Amino acid sequence: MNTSGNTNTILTNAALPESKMDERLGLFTRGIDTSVQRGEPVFCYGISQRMCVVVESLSPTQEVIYCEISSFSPEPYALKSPIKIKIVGNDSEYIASYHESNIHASGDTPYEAIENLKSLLLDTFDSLTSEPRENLGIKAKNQRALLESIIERQ
Amino acid sequence: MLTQSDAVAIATKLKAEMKPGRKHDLAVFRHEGKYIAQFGIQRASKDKSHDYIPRQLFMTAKQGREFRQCSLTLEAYIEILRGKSPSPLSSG
Repeated sequence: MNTSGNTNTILTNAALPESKMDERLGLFTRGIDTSVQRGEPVFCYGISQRMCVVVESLSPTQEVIYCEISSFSPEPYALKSPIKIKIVGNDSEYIASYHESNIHASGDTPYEAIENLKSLLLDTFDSLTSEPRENLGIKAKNQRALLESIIERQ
Repeated sequence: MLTQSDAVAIATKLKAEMKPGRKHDLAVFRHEGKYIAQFGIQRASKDKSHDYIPRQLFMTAKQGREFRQCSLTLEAYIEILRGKSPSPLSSG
C-alpha cells in the first residue's frame, strides 16, 4: 500500500479484499478511532501519538493485525524507537505479541491487548533489570538485553 | 484454552515467584536460583486466555496443556529445557 504523503506507515495489506479490509479495520477501530478510512493510517488515542494498523491475513474466525507502539505514556519510560507488534484474534479475544522478546498479553479487544502488552513489557523490563545479570539464564539475559535496547527509564 | 486459573496452577507447579505488576502478576520461574523465564497472569476479573504462556516457558502448546494436566512433571519439563540448544537453563 502506498502511504506516501502520510506520516505513518502501513505495514502490509497483502491480498486483502477491499470489503474485508473495511470490515476488519472497522472491527479493530471500534472503540479506538471510528473515523478511520480504508487504507489510511489508524491513530489510536491513548496508545501512542502515531500508530498504524492493517490486517495482514484473514480467516472466517481469525484476524492478524500489525501495529506499532511508540510510547509508554503516561508511564515514566520511553521507547528508543517504535516497535512493531502483532495481534492475533477474533471478535472476543486478542493476543498481542512482541515476538522479538517473546512477550505476549491478551485482551477482549485489540486495544486492550495492546495496553496489556505495554504494561507487561514494562513489568518484564522492571523484573529482569532488577536481577543481577549473573543470575539470569541465557534466554532471560537475551530478553533483558533486547528490552534494554528499546526501553529506557525517564 | 489456558485460563487465568490454569496460569495460576502452572505458576504454582513451577514454584514460581509472584511479583505484582501493573495489570498482571508476574510469575518468575527459577531453577537452582537462576531466573529462567517469566509470564504475566492478568488480574482482571474475567477469565481471560493465557494461551501464550507455553511460548514464554519455551514449551509447545501441547506440552503446556500436559504440564497443566499433570501428565508432564516439573522434572520432565526441566529435562525438556535441558535438551534445548541453547538451553534456557544455561548462563550463556
